[in-house]
Amino acid sequence: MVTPDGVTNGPGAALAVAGTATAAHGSYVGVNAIGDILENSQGFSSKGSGGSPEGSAKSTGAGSQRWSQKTTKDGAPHKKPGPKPDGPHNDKIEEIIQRETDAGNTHVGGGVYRKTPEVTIETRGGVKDTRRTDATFVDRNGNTYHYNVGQSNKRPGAEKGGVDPIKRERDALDDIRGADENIEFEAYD
Amino acid sequence: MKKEIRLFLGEDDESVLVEMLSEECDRIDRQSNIEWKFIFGTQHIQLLPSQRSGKIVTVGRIAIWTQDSSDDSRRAESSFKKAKKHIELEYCRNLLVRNLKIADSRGTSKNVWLGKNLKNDLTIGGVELRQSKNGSIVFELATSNAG
Repeated sequence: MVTPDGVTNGPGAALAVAGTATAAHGSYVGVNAIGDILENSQGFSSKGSGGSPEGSAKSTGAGSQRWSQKTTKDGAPHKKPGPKPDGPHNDKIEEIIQRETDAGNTHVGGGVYRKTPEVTIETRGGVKDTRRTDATFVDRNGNTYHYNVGQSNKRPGAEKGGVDPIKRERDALDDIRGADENIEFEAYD
Repeated sequence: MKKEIRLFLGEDDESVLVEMLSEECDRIDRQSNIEWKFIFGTQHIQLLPSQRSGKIVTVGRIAIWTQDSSDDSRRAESSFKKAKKHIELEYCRNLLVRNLKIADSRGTSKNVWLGKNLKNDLTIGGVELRQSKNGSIVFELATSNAG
């Protein structure tokens, strides 16, 4: 459904025009038609739609990657190297994104199923100069906050729920908090 | 393609980017002034504009993450590359970054771009560039070769 009156401020306000239009897939849409194609949809909320609006959001990420074209000596296809797109780490991130967006916050970064790259944070003076958080949100007051997901030690720790992140996760949290950024940790193991 | 370009945008800088990305997308999804999503079929380009709070301007970004080689991905990637080219030609990235809480933490920041309209405001001291509203990371124009 096209609702061209969705934009009320910012640069889009000046560009919004009345009327409705369906933007043809692949066709050229002029600048003056921005209002016509502006859709004030529910975005990535999966409530009632059974998941991401893109349908195939849980993609393997293989695409045209070289590893996906190769086989082992036995003829079996190679498994994706590096982080697995549907492992427990990503499932936990997806769970957090769902929870936070359901609470009315805006998801702006992270989450392989959402096709939104992680947000990079400068952490000058920390163990590393930059960090990328697993999920980033903006709350209703415009404040940005982040989540990292990782492994934890069995002993009780100081993070939410008494969780004790493993060292590399603790380092990341310390770096990010050292830049006065708001971050929480959740374990997936 | 998985890319993120971090940038500081003035209002005019944002308008130009929005127009550019609007030209080829199917539709725009904008639920608040926090985020623009330019939809290309099953793919999208995200634009997080800089937020302004008094003199403080926070870092924004444009980002893309296509995970296949479909037509939609190709169109989104092509549009993203055009925007990237525009940024490389029109913006400057001669910024220094430092953590206000840590002495001697100043260093160059080669991966954050400054919109040309915002640069004028920065030069006359009208704005302060920060990573986030309450964060301690600040960006400053390098004094020499600032263009």
